[in-house]
Amino acid sequence: MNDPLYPRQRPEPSRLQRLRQCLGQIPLPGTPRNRKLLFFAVFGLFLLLEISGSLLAAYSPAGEPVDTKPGKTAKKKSAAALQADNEQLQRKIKGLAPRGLYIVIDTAGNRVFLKRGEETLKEMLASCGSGNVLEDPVGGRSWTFDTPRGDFRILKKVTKPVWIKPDWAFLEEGEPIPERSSERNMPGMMGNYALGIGDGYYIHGTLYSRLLGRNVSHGCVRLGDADLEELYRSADLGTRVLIY
Amino acid sequence: MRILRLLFLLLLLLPAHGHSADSPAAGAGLETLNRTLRTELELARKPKIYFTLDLTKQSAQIKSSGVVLRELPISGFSHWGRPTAKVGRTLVEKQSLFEPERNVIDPEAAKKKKEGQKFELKTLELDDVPSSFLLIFDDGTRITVKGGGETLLGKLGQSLANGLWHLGRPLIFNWKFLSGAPYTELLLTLSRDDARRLYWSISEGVPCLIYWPQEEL
Repeated sequence: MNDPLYPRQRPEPSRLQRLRQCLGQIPLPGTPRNRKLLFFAVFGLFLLLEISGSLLAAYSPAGEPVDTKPGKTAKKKSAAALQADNEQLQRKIKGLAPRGLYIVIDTAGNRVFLKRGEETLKEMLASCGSGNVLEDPVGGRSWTFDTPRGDFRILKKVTKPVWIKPDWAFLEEGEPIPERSSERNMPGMMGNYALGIGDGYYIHGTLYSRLLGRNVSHGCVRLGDADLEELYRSADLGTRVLIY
Repeated sequence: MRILRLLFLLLLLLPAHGHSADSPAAGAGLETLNRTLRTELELARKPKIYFTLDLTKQSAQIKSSGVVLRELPISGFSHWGRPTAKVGRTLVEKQSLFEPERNVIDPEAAKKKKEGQKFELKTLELDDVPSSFLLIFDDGTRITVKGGGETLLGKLGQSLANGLWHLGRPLIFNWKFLSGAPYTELLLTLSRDDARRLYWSISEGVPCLIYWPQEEL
């Protein structure tokens, strides 16, 4: 029974209902016939553009070769000569591969591969650069902790390496930068061995072996103790290190 | 209504026709292969990482000194426009809807770590990088990379996105034709992880070579 003092209120329309109401109130221009014509015109134009674009893509000429050595007239070679030349080029490219042992580092997968030719001799779990950024609020300096990519060589082999703690390591831990250089020496932090690849980057050991397989380093490549020892014993100075 | 259905069917068939080329010219194909191999030989002599796309073998390769460092199988590819004249091209831009963000280190977190309190390890890892992105090269070539959906819903979504990509290309091609700019765009589908690996491994300035199928040259 309805109480006249408290009339029953209609429930609030939902958002969807309100949207429908709003759309229903928008007046559409023209008659239904004109609207149909407009639809066909727009659709026809779209179709025309699709057809013309497709035909242009299919029948436009490929780019003309650029003469890389101006002055020399390129001699037209027969198909057989070209075939032979291509095979020779493929052999030359393969011939540039490192001879003997080399190291491949996958920074995305945190893996180090010890390889000879196309054969992988050993796959090791590693920790590569974290990609984090550190800013020095006072000096205005900034560091990005990425592992560098490219073609490197082992330039240095060190046993019982001592980490000379750089400025960023103090800043990262919220500690003051010491004035005496002796306060920077941190023995035992890099494991038993370190292999330098230049610019202060090393393949070394870690105290945080449970984080192997994750990107947590400051740019160096960290390895477990056993893997590091094997790598140290296998790789000589000058061994190629390919990092991607 | 029948006409409309017929037109719609034609529209669906168009993208498949878009990349059909003229009859293969074996000589032109061999010459282009020769130029590409010569460029690769030059690149392999430099201590640099480079990227090759072998469309015949459907494989993307990250290489250095002629060594394949990582091979990423391409599960599907299609393209609009013809190969550009330049054989060696350089990546000038990577675009994605969500750029991966680098974490700025907070020294306070390190203090917490020292005090033995719980802290969150924030780093940039493979899962943080996009699996769908666009690579733009200096010769105007564009490569759209899409990481394959793993679930049924993801696969459906990807098919829809690929369909829309195909529908949009002729419109762009018209526009580029009228403005006189060359236009070549490839759509590569890789597994989600491989797409992420590709994003991770190639950065601006990396050279790229494309080995086109002979019939496309």
